[in-house]
Amino acid sequence: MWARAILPYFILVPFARKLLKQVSATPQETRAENLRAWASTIEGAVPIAEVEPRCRCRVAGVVQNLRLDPREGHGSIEATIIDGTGQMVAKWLGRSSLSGITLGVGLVIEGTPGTTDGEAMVLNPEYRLVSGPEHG
Amino acid sequence: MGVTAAVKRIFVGRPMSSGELEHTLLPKVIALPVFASDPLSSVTYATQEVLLVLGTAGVAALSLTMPIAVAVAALLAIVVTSYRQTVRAYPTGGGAYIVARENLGMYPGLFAGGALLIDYILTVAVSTVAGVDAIVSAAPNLDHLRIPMAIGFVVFVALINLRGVKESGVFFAIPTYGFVLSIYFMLASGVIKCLGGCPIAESASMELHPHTTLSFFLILKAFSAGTTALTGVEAISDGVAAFRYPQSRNAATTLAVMGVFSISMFLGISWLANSMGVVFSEESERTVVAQIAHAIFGGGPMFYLVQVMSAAILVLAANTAFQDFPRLSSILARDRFMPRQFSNRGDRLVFSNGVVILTLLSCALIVIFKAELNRLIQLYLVGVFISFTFSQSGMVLRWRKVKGPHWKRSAVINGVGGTVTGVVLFVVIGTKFLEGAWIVVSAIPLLVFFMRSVHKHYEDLHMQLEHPDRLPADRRPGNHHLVILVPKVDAAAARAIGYARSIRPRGITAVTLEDTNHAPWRRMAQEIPIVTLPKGGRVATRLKKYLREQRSTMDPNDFLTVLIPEVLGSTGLLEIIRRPGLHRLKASLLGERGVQVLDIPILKDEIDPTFDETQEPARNYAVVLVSGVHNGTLQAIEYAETLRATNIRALSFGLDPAQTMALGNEWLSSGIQHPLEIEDSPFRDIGVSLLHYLRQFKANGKDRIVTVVIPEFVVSKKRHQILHNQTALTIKRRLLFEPGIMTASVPYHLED
Repeated sequence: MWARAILPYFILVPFARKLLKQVSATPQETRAENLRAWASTIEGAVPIAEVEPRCRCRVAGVVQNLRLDPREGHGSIEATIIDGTGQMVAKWLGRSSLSGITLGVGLVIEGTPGTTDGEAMVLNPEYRLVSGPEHG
Repeated sequence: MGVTAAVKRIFVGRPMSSGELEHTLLPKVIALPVFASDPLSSVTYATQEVLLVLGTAGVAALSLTMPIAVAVAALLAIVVTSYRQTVRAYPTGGGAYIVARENLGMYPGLFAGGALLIDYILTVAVSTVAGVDAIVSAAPNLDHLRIPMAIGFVVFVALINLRGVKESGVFFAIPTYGFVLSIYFMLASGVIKCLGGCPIAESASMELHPHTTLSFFLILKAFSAGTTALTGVEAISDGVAAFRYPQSRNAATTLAVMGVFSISMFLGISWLANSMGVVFSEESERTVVAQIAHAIFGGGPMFYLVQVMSAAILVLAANTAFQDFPRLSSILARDRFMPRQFSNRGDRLVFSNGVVILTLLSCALIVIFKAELNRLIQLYLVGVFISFTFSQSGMVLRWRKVKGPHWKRSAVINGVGGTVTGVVLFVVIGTKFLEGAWIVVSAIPLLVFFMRSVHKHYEDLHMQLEHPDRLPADRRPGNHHLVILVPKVDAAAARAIGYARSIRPRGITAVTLEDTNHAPWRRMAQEIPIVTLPKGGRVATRLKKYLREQRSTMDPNDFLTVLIPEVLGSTGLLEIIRRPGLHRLKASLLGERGVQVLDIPILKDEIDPTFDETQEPARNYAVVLVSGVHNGTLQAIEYAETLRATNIRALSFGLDPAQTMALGNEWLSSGIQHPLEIEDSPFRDIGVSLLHYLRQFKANGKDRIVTVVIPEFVVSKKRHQILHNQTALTIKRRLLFEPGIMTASVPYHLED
């Protein structure tokens, strides 16, 4: 009888401890943390915050923003990816179809990042779609 | 910050160990209170409903409480197990509507969806009334205030949701975990006391006058009353997308934890009620939980704590419905079965609509049923079990089709779930039909019919929007004509002058209602002629007449914009409520063909007496909100092109990845010569995401401003108007109080 009455409390102890940790974080923080955890599972990917300029490197992130420029002559597609440490823009020139790239998908890009207007940008990187942490 | 988080910060980038990874996977501790407050809260009244039904056959019948409670607990376990399958199979969220529609077809989907919508309304009513019961149990002299208190709670929760307060973890966690802890504490104390002989409840000696005999039907009735404990299980399966990665597993775990909590609390309360001899009838002043708490703790602080926590979690449960109802209606709206706004991504727009409708209907129920829990609860549950049954049978078909690993086992689990809930559905309808369930049983088909006609309407309009004959794409961009409405010559009017000058319109006039405004106006803008509208009639009618005269001399492709300057005192809804006239005027202008409305707001705090507002802003960024590539959007872009803006950007918010990609590809092949930006709205809040986006322009109202161009649909039939424009309204309301942001509404008129 006694044991049965006390048992629920023990189930709650780890729960309560984690609860305390969680309640202090904002959704943005927890999302960033979630993204970092996900990105670290991608093989060979470097966190965006640690990307060295001019390196040939691979980063993984979730597409946060798309910019589609359909103008003749300077058409381009830009995808901003975030991985919880920073953001990077992947820009493809002369493309006219998204072919799989959409918001929330995981994108692994490989190229040589430069900086435009203080923003890290890779021009025409190789890319691969992976399932992201949020949209499956 | 915890130790693990600090360690992580030092070693950023190093692949995390699985232990650390696990830490990030734990937000289910927040997901539990967010999604499970509804099912957890129903334990506060589930036992009571069983006792009430059994009590009609006399005190002796109460000995059946425990067997019935065990049966309900078993049913809950079956449903939770079934839903764990659904959650795994539908990682992006598999509410009953989605599962039924995908696997059973449109009408079963609509029935499941409609049933759930009705049940969410009942959840609000039942939960708040039960919460009021908990308060009245602690403070009996509030008894005569039950209806106002219940409505007060509903309105309170509605206001929180309307204002868009984010789901904060603390907000949900404290009442939910507080409730669970206080109930467990009460149960534990009760069990310990019972070791040396149970305390006797205050009602134990109460006389019951049996008016029925104990029959099989009565037992079924008591059972179906107890199944209220099952409400809300659906919420988790609907909200899988809100869980952290890996979503399905987390959602399944949360479901299991919720099930364990619910079952143990329900069984515990039922057992204590039984052992303490609690008797409950419609005349009882205190709820069953209050009686148990009182018997255990006396009138001490713990008694009041249990009551406060019960009331708090019940109000939260109402809040869950306020989250679910708009979510489901937005899914239905996305599929064009419910009214949707100009944007495809059902969010705020549907959201505020949903909140208002939910508030009105649940308040109506509370008033009609005089805030009496026992009467309201008769309507409850029909919808829940319809959706359970459809959802589970849909899952069985899905397993048969997909045939994944262990599909047979999964199909059996869902099959058992579907069969049992189907049987219970008939029991619920059968036992409650005359007491009120008939209302729900007849309302659901009506709702399905309504959704079907909405669908038809949208399909019609869709055809028109895509119709190439009405496509303004290859029209020459028209000229711009402006009319400034000047109710008063103030800072806002001055800003409107600056704005108007920057557009360099083909024609411009100012209209006012009082001749006394002419002199100060001429001092500010000599080049803009001002006229007084002829007297007589409503302002809107007079203004429209004037606009029609203007319009008649213009090319049909030209734009005629009414600038409406406004000085805003306080920020917030109050300001809008305070001046209904202006808002009615704006809404009525939108119905006028060939007229656009541009809002020039200025906040009182923003007014700088040393600055000349009539100066042209150096930079004006035009942002066109886009929901799809159609005639309404093309017209809005054309409008933006006549504003002489620094640059023009089209902006869309993505809530659905597949839809986003379709929009992007369509844009790329549409021949539109402006870039489109598609922003993620990770927390599904377009208002916030839009403000966040707009802040990059650092608009200050002086030399940098932003014009947000919102395409709106106007339909000719008044009753169809409600099916459109709602998002635009919400967005405009939000933007009104943002410094330096002007909003232009560009209506696109549709025929019925």
